[in-house]
Amino acid sequence: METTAAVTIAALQLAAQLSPAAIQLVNGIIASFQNSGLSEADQLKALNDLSESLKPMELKA
Amino acid sequence: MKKLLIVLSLAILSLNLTGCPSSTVASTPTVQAQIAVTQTLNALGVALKATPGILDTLYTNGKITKDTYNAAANVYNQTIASYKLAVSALNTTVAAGQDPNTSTAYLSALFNFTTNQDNLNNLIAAMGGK
Repeated sequence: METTAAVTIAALQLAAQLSPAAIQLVNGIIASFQNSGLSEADQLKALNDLSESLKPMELKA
Repeated sequence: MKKLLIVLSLAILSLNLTGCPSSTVASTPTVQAQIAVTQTLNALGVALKATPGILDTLYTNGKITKDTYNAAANVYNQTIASYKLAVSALNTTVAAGQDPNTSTAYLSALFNFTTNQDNLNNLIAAMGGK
């Protein structure tokens, strides 16, 4: 699993071109999901809940 | 397109390197791929959610003008819209029992999202938000 995580994170870094601080944040978040013990169905539900929670920003008048 | 190919190649490589998982959750390479993509999108979403706070701080501290703030907000709104489409495509892929790394619909949605996110990251970096 560690190899999968490392390669997935490398792909993520290339895909997102994040800053070092953001990469560290994302890596930590991925690790927390990997260690969460959640089933794949629960992980997908968490993803859908997160996606739903993202709201558009309002423009300043 | 080059970026998409790199991501796809690495994702496929991850499947080749993984072998049998120790986890009781992942049972097949397809399920492992679905879980890896889900975790990655989760992490990206959490990071994305921090963006409005960053922009608000920059604006409140006078680092950016209202017009710049609004321009960045528009890019953010495009980015989360494409993120939601990528998540939706993953749901469809998982429901069909497919490997997302071989799903044209998912990869296309992912590419649109990462393109928007690149624009957003570059914009914030130019503001001094990194």
